[in-house]
Amino acid sequence: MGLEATLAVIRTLPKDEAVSHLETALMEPYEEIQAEAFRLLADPQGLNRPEIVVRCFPGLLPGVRKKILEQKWHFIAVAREQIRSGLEKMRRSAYEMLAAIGEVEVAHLLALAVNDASTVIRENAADAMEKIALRYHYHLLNWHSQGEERSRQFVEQNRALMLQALEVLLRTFQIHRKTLFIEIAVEMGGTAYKLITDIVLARRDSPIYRGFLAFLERATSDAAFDLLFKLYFEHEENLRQAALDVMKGRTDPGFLGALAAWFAKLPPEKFLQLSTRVREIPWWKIVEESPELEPALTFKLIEFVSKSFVDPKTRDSMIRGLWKSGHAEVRARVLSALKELRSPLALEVARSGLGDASDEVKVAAVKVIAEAAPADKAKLLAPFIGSSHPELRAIAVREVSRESFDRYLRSFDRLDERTRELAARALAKIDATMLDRLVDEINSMEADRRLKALRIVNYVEAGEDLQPLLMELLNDRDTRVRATAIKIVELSGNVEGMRLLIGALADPDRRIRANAIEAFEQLGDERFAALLLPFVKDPDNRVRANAAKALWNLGRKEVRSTVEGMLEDPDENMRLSAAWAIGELRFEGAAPLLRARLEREPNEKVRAKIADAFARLANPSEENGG
Amino acid sequence: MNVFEDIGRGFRRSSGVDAWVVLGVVAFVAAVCLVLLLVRHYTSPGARAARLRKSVFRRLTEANHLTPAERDILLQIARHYQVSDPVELFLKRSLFEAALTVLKVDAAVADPMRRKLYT
Repeated sequence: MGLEATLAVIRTLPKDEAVSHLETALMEPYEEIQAEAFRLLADPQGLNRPEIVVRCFPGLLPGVRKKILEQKWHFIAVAREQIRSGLEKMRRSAYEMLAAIGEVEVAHLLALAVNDASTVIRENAADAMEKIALRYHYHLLNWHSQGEERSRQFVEQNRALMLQALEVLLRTFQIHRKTLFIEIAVEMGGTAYKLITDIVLARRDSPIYRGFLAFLERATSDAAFDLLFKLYFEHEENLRQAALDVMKGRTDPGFLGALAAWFAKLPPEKFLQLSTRVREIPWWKIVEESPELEPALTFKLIEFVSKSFVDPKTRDSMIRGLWKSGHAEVRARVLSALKELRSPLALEVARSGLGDASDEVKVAAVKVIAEAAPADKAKLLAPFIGSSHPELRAIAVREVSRESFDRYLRSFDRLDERTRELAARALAKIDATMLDRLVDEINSMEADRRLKALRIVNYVEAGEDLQPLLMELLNDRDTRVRATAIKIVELSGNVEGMRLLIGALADPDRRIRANAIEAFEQLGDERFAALLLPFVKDPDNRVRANAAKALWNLGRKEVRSTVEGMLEDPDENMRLSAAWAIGELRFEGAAPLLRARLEREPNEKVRAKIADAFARLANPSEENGG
Repeated sequence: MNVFEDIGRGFRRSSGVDAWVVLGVVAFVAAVCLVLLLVRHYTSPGARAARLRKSVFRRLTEANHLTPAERDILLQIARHYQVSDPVELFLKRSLFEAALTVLKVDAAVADPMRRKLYT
C-alpha cells in the first residue's frame, strides 16, 4: 500500500510507460514522491535516465537536489551533454542544476552559458557564476591577507578550472558586465596575467579595458600593485600605457598607504629591483599632497624614490616636496635622504632645517651641514654649542672644534713652541673629540701628520689615553715618529709610558723588542743601559745585536765581547747579526776580526754580510738597519 | 426516380425465395464487416493502451487497497480534470489534493485515501 506499492506496479510496466509516469512523479511538489521517482530514474542499474532528472531539475525540492549534489560528477556529465542540445528548456534546466551545484568545478561549463543564445540563460548563468566567483574571491583574499591554509588549498585546487572559466567570462564581459571576474583575474596574480594582457587589455576602447582600469584605480591589494608594476615594466606600449593611466589616475588617499605597505612587504631584493627600474613616478603628486601620511609609510616611499632611476634633479625635488610634512620624522628623513643622495638641495634644505621646531630635524640638518662643510659651517653650527639637546650639542661642538682643530693643524708649523702648546691645551678643553681627531692624525699615512699629532699628544698630556697607539708607534717605519713617541713617554715623565716602553722590551715579537732597544738607544740616556743589559743574552739574534749596539752607544764598551762571541756562534743568524753589529759599532780591531772570521766562514750569507760590514767600515756615513 | 421504380418493379416481379437469398447475403456481408471493424478497433494501439490503462488502474487500486467508492472518487477526479490516464492520479498528489476541495470530498473519506495512496 502507498507509494511503494504504486511504484512496484509502475516498475512492471513497459520501460517507456514507466519512465513517463516517473517523470510525472518527479514534477510533483512532494518530496517523498520526487525522492522515489528520483531513486528509480537515477539508478544506473535500474531505469538509468538521469537526463530526465536534470530536465526536471527546476521543479526539484531541496531534499532531492541534495541527492543530486551527492552524485554531482554523474549529473555534471549529463548536464554537459544537455548543454549541447539545441533545446533551450533542456539547456536551461542543465545550467540551473550546475548553478545549484555552485562549485568551481562547474564554473567552466556555466561560463559557456554566459554566451548562450537565450537571454534568460545568459543572465541566470552570469548570476550563478558571480556566486561561484565570489566564493573563490573570498578564499583568494583570505589566503592573501590572512594566510589561511584552508583558503590556500581551495584556491590551488580550483585554480585551473577558474582560469578556464575566466577566459570565457572575460571574453564575454560586454554581455554580463560583471567586474568581479576582472577582480579575480587581478587577484590571481601571475597565473591570470596572460588573460589580462591578451583579453582585458587587448583593445583600449573596450568596456572590459575601462572596467579593468576602473578597478585598478581603486584597488589596494598586494596583487593589484604587483600587476600594476608588472604592466608598467612591460615593453609593449599599450600595456605600459594602461599602467601609467592607472598610476596617473590614483588620487585616492588609501592608495599611498596600501602602496607603501606593499613596498614594506616586498623582499629587499625585489624592492630594490623594482625601485631601480623605475624612471618616472606618475603618482608622486598625491604623496606631496598628503602631508599627514604616516611617517613609516612615507619612509618607504622616500626609499623608493631615492633608489629609483628618476632623473636626479626631479628625484631630489620630489623628496624635497615632503619637506612640508607635518611629521618631524618625515622632515628629518627628507634631510637624511638628500644627504645620502649627495643632493645639491641638501644644504639648502638643511639651512632651513636649523630653524625647525623639532630637535630631530635640527640634528639631521646639522649632520648635513657637517658633511657638506660649507664655508660658514662654524657660524651656522656655533649657536647649537649651548643646545640642551645632547646630540645636537655634541655635533655642534665637534664640528666647530674640528674646524678650529683643522685651522690649528694648518698653522702648526708657523707657530712657536709655546703658542702651539697653549693652543693645543685650549682646544682640548672645548673639544671632547680632540683625542679622536688625534687618533685619526696618528693613523695618517703621512709621517709629518703623525709627527705633529704626537707632539700635540705631548702638549695635552694624552699619552696615557693613547697607550696602545704609542705602542704601535714603537714600530713606526719613520724613525722620527718612533723617537718622538718614545720621547713623549720619557719627557712627560709618564710612569705608565715608561712602563709601556719597558714592556716593549719583553714583547714576544722580536721586532718590537729590537725597536724598543733602538728607541732606548735614541733616547741617549745612560740610565737605561742597565735595562738593556739582559738583552745581550736574548735568544733572538736581532734583539741581541740591537742591544749590543744600543749599549755600545750608551757607553758600555764591554759589549764588544758580546758581538765577538756572536761572530763565533754556531747559529748562522747570530753570525749574520754580529757582522751587521760590528759594521755599526766600528770599534777598533773590527776589520781584522771580520777578516779572520771570513777566512773560516763556510756560510755564503754570512760571508756576504761580512763583506757588507767591510763596506760600512770603509764608508761610515751610510745608514743601515739590523 | 424511374430507376428506383424499375428496381421496385423487379422485386415485385421476382419470386419470394430469391429476395430472401439476396437479403441474407447482404446481412451476412454486413455482419462480417461489423466484426472486422470491431476486431480492428479492439486490436488498435489506442484500444490496447486503454485496456492497459484500465488494467494498471485496476492493479493499482488493488495494490493500494482502495474500496470501490474510493476508486470511483479517483475516476471522478480524472473526469473532472479530464485526465486521460487515471493511473497518473496515483502519483499526482497535487491534483488529488486540489480535487478534494473542488469536488467537496469529505475529509473522512479523503484522509484514508491520502494515507493509502501517498505514504
